[in-house]
Amino acid sequence: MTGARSGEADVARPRRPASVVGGSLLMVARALSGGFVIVTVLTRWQEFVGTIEINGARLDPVDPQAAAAILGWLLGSYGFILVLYLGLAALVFTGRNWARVVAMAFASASILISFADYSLNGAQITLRTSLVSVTLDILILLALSSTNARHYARAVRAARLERAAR
Amino acid sequence: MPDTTAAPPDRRRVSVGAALDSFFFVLAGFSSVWLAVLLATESLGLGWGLLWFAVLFWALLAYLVLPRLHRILTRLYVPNYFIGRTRTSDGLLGDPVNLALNGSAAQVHAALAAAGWTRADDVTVASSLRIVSSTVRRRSYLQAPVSPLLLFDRVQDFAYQQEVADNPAKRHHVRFWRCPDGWMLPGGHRVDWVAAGTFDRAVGLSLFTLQVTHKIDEHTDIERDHIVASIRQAVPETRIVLLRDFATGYHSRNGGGDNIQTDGDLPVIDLRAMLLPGQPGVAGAQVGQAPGQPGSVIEVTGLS
Repeated sequence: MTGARSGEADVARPRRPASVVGGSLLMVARALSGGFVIVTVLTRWQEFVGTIEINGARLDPVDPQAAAAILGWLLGSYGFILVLYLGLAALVFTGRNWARVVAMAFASASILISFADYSLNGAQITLRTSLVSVTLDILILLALSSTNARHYARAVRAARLERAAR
Repeated sequence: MPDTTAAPPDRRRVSVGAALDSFFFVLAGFSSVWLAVLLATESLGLGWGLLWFAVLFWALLAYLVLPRLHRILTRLYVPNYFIGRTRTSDGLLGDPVNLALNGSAAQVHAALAAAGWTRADDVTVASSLRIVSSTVRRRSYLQAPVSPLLLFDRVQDFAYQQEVADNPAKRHHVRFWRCPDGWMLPGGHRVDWVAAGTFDRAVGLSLFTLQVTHKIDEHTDIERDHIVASIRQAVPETRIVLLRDFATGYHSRNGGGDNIQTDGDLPVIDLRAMLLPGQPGVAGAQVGQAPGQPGSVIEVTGLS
């Protein structure tokens, strides 16, 4: 994206390419879609508490408090992961290379698991099931693995090292 | 000479980061193909939503899937040294390099401005918005950006264009790259800049990438000669060294699937004698380096 004309500016502040902006926004969208799941569960709490099983037996009729605690703990951990993921998106946006690699690894793992489910178990991936999240993961991976995103992360690192050396 | 077979001095080190990047790059390419299949399957189950989904499918295919596949494949088999052709951002062969220049950046800018060329804006969010707004309001946008083409592994340094009779689909345009220090054209000619000039004749769909793009005129030599003539007319100090049969004449296609043909001649526009306002001494001192009289054309033909 940058020509020789902006060579000097590259060292001071590399220009953020569209792929990094788009990739970070998609990560935020991915986190928001996770947040939507949490909201859905919260609004239909009793229904979901009823689905908690331990060793194949429903827990709710036996010990409703424990079932609710387990569901709350699950939701809490998921929410915590989502917040971490939002932080990762912010770091990708600012051009941290390790954050980009970690985000790509997450997306790849999620894609590969979905693909295994799809090809081995014949899982249906439609709008009603996981098409949106799979689409988001693939778009994130495409954006962050692009040459522009890679060069940007490297340039930011080089600029940081140069500033540190001064 | 057993010594020379020892470890090559600049063996490329394969870093973990680069290997990971390549892995993710290729995985993303395969994933996008799978996504296209998923979307196509899903669209079959949607009755009235089919058209909307078809547009989404086309956008995904044209702007994400095919470019990534082209990137992966062209990295494998398109040579990355100078072969007289630019490359598109997907790695496909683009417009032919059909001009070379000698002179400072200031001289090149001054000569083109004098010859009635307008510098194209860089592709930014602001310039992209302006393209949309000028298209909607049917205003002309003289400094509209040109698409990026790569040479020496980088996007053009700048580009110039001329609009044709208020028709945004048609325009003359030429992209410039500064040559690396000490770099020479095949045949040993030292030049400061190389350029690729083509004429956009219409807006259409690219054959290879399915993207909406400008279609270029097949006769790239006409555009080349137009650029040379416009500069010669505006800057009388210009000298031309015409490298006859620099490349073999050929018919081919560019990255958008447009036909191109050329006779293979390469004019070198020498602007070193051009006087710039404010610094006449510098230009005057360089006159001795340039061959021929101001305004002259020297033809260089092969000897064998």
